[in-house]
Amino acid sequence: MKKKNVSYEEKESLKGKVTLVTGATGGIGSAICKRFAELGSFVYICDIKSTVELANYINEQYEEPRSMSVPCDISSKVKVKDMYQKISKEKEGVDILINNAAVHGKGDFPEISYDEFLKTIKIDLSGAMYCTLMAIPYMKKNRWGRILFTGAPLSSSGIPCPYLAGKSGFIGLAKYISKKYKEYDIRTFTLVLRHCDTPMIRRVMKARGVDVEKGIEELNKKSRTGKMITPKEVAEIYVYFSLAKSPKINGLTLLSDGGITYL
Amino acid sequence: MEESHIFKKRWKIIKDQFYKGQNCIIFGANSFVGKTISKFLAQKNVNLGLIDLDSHKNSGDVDNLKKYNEVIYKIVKSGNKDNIIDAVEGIYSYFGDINYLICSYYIDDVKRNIKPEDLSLETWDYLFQDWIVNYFLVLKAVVPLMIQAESGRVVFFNTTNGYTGEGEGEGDITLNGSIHESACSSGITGMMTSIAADIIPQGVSVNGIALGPNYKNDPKRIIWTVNLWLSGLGEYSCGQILRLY
Repeated sequence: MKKKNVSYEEKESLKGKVTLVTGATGGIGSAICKRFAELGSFVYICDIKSTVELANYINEQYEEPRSMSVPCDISSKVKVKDMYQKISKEKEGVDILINNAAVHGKGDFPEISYDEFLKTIKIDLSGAMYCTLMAIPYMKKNRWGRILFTGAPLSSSGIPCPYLAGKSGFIGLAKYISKKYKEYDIRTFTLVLRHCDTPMIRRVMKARGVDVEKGIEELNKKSRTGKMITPKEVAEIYVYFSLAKSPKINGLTLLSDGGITYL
Repeated sequence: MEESHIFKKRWKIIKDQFYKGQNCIIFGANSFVGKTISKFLAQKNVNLGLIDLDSHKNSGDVDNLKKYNEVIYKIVKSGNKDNIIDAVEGIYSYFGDINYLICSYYIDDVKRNIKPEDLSLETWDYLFQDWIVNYFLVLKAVVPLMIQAESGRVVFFNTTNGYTGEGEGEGDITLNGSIHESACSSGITGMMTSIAADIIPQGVSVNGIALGPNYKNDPKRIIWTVNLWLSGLGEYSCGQILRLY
């Protein structure tokens, strides 16, 4: 078995913490899972798709298992309850919840169909609510918890209404929890992204018949930094927040859009 | 007569004429906000199509409003697409073009019935359907009619308990409600922002009002804000939400 090479300062800094990542098989989700496991956390890998491959990959890197596949359709409250039951049997509860799952949905308003609206918002908003509501009781009992959200700016144009409802819901939810449960040391953080250099963005471009390299170059140019944020960088931001000591680091919304929104 | 009095009198005439004969649908008519706005608009001779969820029905006030102008009252089942389309089509076929849509919700019931410590998933499902899904369905039924007429104004309500967006709306959230209300209200901000971006170029304005903990103490503020959004003075404030703390 291989042992991952990590620096002394960060080695095992998340040891003993149980993390649940939703939307875990995508570019951002898998980067988060790998990085949190690298720092010693036990990671539950949740996605509607099979997550066994990613769990096996992570576990092969270490002497002891550091991840577990928990495939789940988070738009179903019954399935979310089942997933948490499994986690609570094995590890008591979730210390760090990363609400990362989302589907984009299709259609402008008012053309978007009711079915498409419901399907999308049930994953993007209800799914995150289910996971969050199930996580809070253990965090309260344990008097420690971190709930992180992958958001999107309201100013994003051309985003279907159920998707933006979910992303905007995250910001409010994070702010509310940060105030309501601060005495339990349950802290929240929302990372607001516009474009991220993920395999999905390349797939979408390809499906739309766009020259992928040119498309990526254009998105990079749009950013004042000259490049989009990468999944690995997103994972680092989540680690940085999870390890923050100050209780004042709570309820924050960090816009990481390369300056597109305001500059 | 002093000049200021003349001005006030003229301004009153302009305001009264402005609303006369316009058609408005109010969803959530039996809420405090719904009742307040219904009364105000009825007095301004606006024709009212009032819609309530069957869980909140109360037609007691409709007769009082009828003494001012035309009023149609419809009851719909929560989350029932066909029911809501029928209600809107019924109002449209009677009044003609819909000029205004007010999306209100029964905030008092939420505050009374959902305790801040409630963390149940079932409560979320109930509020999500009652508030977000119904807003979507009412908008989906009314907005195409407004687009067809190339004109219309939508005003929606949520609360300061949730995120209300950037710009003026940016501010601290209040803790006067449950986690469910906060997430719902925040979700409405995002949903309406996206809808605003889609329909404003087609001639339909969209703006919101976030109710604070003490919103009942001064209903005049609600009327002032509704006036702002309906009058067209807020035409360039696309998708903005005013917070009434």
